[in-house]
Amino acid sequence: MAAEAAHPVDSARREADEAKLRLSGVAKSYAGRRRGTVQAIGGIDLDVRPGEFVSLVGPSGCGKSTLLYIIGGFIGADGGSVLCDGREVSGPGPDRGIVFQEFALFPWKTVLGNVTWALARRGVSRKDRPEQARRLLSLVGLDEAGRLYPSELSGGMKQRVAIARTLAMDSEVLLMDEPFGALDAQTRALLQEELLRIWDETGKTVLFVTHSVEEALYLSDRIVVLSSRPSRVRDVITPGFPRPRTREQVLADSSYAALYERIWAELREEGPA
Amino acid sequence: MTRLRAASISVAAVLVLLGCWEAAPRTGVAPDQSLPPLSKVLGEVWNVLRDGDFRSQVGLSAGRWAAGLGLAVLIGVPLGIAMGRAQVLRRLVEPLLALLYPVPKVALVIPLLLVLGLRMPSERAGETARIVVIALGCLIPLTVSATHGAAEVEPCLLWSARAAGAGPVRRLLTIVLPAALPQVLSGLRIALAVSIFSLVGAELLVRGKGVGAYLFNAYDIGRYERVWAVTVLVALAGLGLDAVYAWTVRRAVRWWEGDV
Amino acid sequence: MMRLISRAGPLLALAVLIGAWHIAVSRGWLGNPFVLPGPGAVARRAGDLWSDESLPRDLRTTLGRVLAAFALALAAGTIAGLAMGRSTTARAALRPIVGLGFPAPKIAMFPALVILLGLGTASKVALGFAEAVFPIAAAVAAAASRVPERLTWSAESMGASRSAVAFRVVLPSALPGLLAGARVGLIGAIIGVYVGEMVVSSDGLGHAMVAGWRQLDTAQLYVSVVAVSVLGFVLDGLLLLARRRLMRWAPENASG
Repeated sequence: MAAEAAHPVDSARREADEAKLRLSGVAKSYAGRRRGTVQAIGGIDLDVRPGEFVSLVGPSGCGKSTLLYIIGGFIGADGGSVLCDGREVSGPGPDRGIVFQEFALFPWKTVLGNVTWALARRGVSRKDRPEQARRLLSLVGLDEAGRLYPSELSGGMKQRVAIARTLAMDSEVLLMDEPFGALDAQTRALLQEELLRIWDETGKTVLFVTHSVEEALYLSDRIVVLSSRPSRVRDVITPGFPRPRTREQVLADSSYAALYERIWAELREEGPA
Repeated sequence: MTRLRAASISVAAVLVLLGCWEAAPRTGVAPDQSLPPLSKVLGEVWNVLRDGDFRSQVGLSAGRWAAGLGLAVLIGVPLGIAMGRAQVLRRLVEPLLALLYPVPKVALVIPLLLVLGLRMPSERAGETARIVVIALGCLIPLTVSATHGAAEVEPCLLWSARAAGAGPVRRLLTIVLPAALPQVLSGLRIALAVSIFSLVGAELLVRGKGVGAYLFNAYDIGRYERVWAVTVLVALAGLGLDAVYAWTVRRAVRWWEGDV
Repeated sequence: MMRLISRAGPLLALAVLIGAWHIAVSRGWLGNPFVLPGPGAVARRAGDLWSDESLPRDLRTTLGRVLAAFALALAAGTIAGLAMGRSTTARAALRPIVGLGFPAPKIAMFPALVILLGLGTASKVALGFAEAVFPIAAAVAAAASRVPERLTWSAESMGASRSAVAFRVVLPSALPGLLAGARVGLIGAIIGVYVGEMVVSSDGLGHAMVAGWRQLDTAQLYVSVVAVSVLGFVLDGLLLLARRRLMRWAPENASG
């Protein structure tokens, strides 16, 4: 394939030093419902720099979540490779934290217990865990909720806990799978601001899957637009709004409407997968 | 994993199990007279099947089984549906069922025999006691599942039916019954297993005629191969019923999502 | 108030049942009191049997067998269920065996079990085990296979090992299903042990019942039936209590 020819081993290694995440030719197909195979992802190349906030948008069903799961190492790709810090991804690992739309909290553990669990897997000593967990919960704005069970929390609070738990892993890469997709509009706006603040404080590399163009424009350094199945990179957009930014500034920026229209036009053209 | 690989692992697991049965007595791991090798037992199965006495006992047992299960369905399902739709009835009956739940219902065959024996000839008393015990055993799973099925009907379904002008009877027949059907059927599946258990249990406890009695007579006279052969046959009957259930339900309730 | 009534429900039902039993016997509706003695006569007989040590002894024997059968079934059923729920190979290997064992009437095996294991405790425990293990294994397998993928993924991405995922994520997540299966299994264990004792035994509550019948001591027969029912009720209650403690995290820990 062209991508392989363009990156001989040496230069690949050198450039991988700069890229936090490097996807080259990632492809995935499924067994079809009746027969044959359906190609979901048709060869994706993408580099994400350290500390960068990159969003993936695309028509629904285009496989953007699948791509994220491949990077997370939860499912294997059929072709291509994923490098994280220059090392080939072969399974889930604490170097890539993930936040799911469904929160995926352990319902039988309290808020504090959920965060502590992640700290314990990381090898934090038993006596340091409560202190660190409290600090993380305070970072996501949940100082008071430590003793509650997830079933006692609102959706927004659950997602805050999930973010705190992922931050507890102290991974440099944060994979986020439509994390605010299940929340109401106000909570969602609030959490977007919080996420930007946390990202600013921690300097994580974020790969963010969303179906909301507004969200992508507000949060990202770069927006990758995927095509419908089999998905490929259709367009890469660098909004370039100044940081730190507020929602009002972004909405008032002269280029916002044009960028919004451009992404929407592309999504409309792709249609539903 | 491919379907073929899964199927071959399944077959292999069963073969290993059957192989152990064949090998254990032959190698002396298990005493030969108490656990005869599979091949001898299968030979005996053939003999038992040709035995006219056995066949007439099977007929007797099948009659009891059908009567007991039928009785339980006729009482339990309507009762459960009514309980699911009428809170008062549910509050009255549910504690009673909770109380009966841990009682070993098969054991009641003996007191029933005693009580009924005063009113009718002993032959009929025994027959009735066994049928009642089978019905009792099946009653709780059938009633409880029908209650849940009827109680969990989506209110919007009933509201839209009412808005369309359907009266209570029509709502019961066209909404409640079909919506409760999956639960009723899963209760029936449990009841099928319970019914065979109760049948054999009742026949073991109060001897007389029937497959359970035949099984125990073989034990009494020390024909252990026959004991194992009848055991295999009863187990196959239980499996067969379960398979017939699954096959029928899958065809009859096509709209049902998920496992039968 | 409603909650109080539903708590008291079984007790109320018990009172009604005993009252009806008393009236039916004293009016002679059910034949003579020899065939079905009234609750008072059964209670007096229970008192006699308690003071001559035979009832406590039988209770201990049966309880020990039930607990042994249940504990073995719980351990085996949980491990088999977890394996079936989480590994496609284990599922392929065990599913036909559970599929064959679940609907098969285990009681028909009892004479064969007696031949194999003898007249004593082992054959009763084996029958109780056989009655209990399949519902537990099937319930755990179903619950373990329904554990949300995102939950195990989260644990894996935090660096949890395979066994940590199995025992610290899948097991607690499958706990509601496990406990529901355990309730069914417990009653199966009691019925298996009791019926086993009735069919062939020289001790235990089941034996006491059959002995009462053979010796025309009908009151003893009813004492045994009541005793095993109380045993079942108490053990089931303990299991529900354990569930309430273990599942404090669930939104409605009393349901199901």
